[in-house]
Amino acid sequence: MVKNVKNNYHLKILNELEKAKINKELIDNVYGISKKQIETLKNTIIQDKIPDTVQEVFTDFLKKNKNDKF
Amino acid sequence: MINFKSISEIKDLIFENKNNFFKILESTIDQLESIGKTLNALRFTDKDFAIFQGNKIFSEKNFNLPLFGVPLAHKELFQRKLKGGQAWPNEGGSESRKNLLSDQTAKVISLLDKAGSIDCGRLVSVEYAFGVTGHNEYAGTPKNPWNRTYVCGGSSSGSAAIVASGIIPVALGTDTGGSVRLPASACGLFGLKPTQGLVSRDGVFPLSTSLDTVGPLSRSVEDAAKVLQIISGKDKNDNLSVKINIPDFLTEMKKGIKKISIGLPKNYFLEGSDKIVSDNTVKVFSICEKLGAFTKDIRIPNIETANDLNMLLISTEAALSHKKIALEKNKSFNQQTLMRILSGVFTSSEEYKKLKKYRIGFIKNIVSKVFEEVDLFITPVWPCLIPSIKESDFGANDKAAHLVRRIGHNTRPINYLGLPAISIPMGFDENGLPLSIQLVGKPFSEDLLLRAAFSLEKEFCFWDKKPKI
Repeated sequence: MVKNVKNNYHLKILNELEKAKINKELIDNVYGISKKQIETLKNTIIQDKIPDTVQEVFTDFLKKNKNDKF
Repeated sequence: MINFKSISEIKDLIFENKNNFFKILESTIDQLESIGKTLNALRFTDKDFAIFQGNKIFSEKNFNLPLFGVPLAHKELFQRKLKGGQAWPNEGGSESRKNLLSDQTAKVISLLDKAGSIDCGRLVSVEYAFGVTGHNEYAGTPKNPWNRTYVCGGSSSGSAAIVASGIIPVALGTDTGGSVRLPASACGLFGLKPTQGLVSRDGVFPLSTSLDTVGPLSRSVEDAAKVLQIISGKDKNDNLSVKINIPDFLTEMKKGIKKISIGLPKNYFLEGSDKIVSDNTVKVFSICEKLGAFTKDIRIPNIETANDLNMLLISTEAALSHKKIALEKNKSFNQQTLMRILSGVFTSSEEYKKLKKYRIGFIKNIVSKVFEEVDLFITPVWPCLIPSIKESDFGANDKAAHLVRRIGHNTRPINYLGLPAISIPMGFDENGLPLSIQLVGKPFSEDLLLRAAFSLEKEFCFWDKKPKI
């Protein structure tokens, strides 16, 4: 079983998974995979002045490139 | 009767004689039931509904419809509600959703109806569309028509198997990390993943609300272009939908590859793929140059993080949509699917916000840097040869997680970037399975992708290659 978990949110979720009677080995695997991926996210830095949506990025790009699709 | 025929050829047969239409319909449904079941690719057909649709389009006599009378079938994630309160199943390829029905008709399905196509039924998807090999214990694991001991790839595995068998000319799939391009590539088809926002996902069973896209798998570029033309456009019911002027894809695709600039990113894509696959990509890159494209080696900065973060975004959003059922009915899930969904439950709301915000900045950076240099770039689709059904059937363990990450190596970052891409078949590997390459374009450059794909299609003549059915 997953040990030494200090993050309260993770503890809450682990409790939910146990209550739902999810196989313990699967919980171990799932937690391991999740931790690795969240670690990648933690190492990222958000740039300043970025648009709110992907659509805005695309619209700006096409306008700058004088595309006639808009 | 319509085996391995294009949309145009099928329409010609129908216009020759109205009786041909009902013969075509009968034969298509028979083949879906026989060959489709043998290949584990069919979920269900609805002959009564298909005949109803046929009678309707003939009574309206609108013979100019672009898909008049053309029988199609699609991945089972596309919902259909019928008149009189009935509806087609909406099981998402999972026992956990057994007997659940559609509560609406997907926007793209309505658009195909209006274009005159006949909807014959639904084709197998990987459970919750969350897998890249095509394995599905509940609905069946589709067999690759080129070599039936091999996978079709996923998650639009049934669509790929049925179109590659020549039963129908095109089928819709969904692509969140490669689920149109990977099966299209494994089965020798063109697989088009459009720009995020070009095609509506309304009424499509969701995996990841940020990353899901809808696209065609087809035996020809022309058929992909025809279907894309019909399903593209703004839809107020899809929050990511974008209003743009849609080009005439059929006209555009004939303009050729000349003067399109194509980049070859050696970092990540070639370096992370097996030699045979990388060599094949370099070979096609040289052919593009021979055909008149401008070619250039490029580098795509920091693309490595896109694969991991795309995995995290998919599982986080899959968990947001499906956590409740995954916990309540966990015994009805395949353990791999359950693992993939539940690996998203630990992402906090702050982390989810950061994940989405970081993605926007990442896209802005890549789009401005890469597409100042080139119009398109070329990569492999699968990073390895297509695996057999047996060798890729793992349990819910690290090996399975690694395999999923590895197979989506070249496709998943493209969903993360929201960009359009097309997989193009060009030859065969040592096991008789198709080999393909992927072209990726700048936002809303489907016209350029189709131009390049059409030129390469003529070069490789893949249309003439047919599996033994």
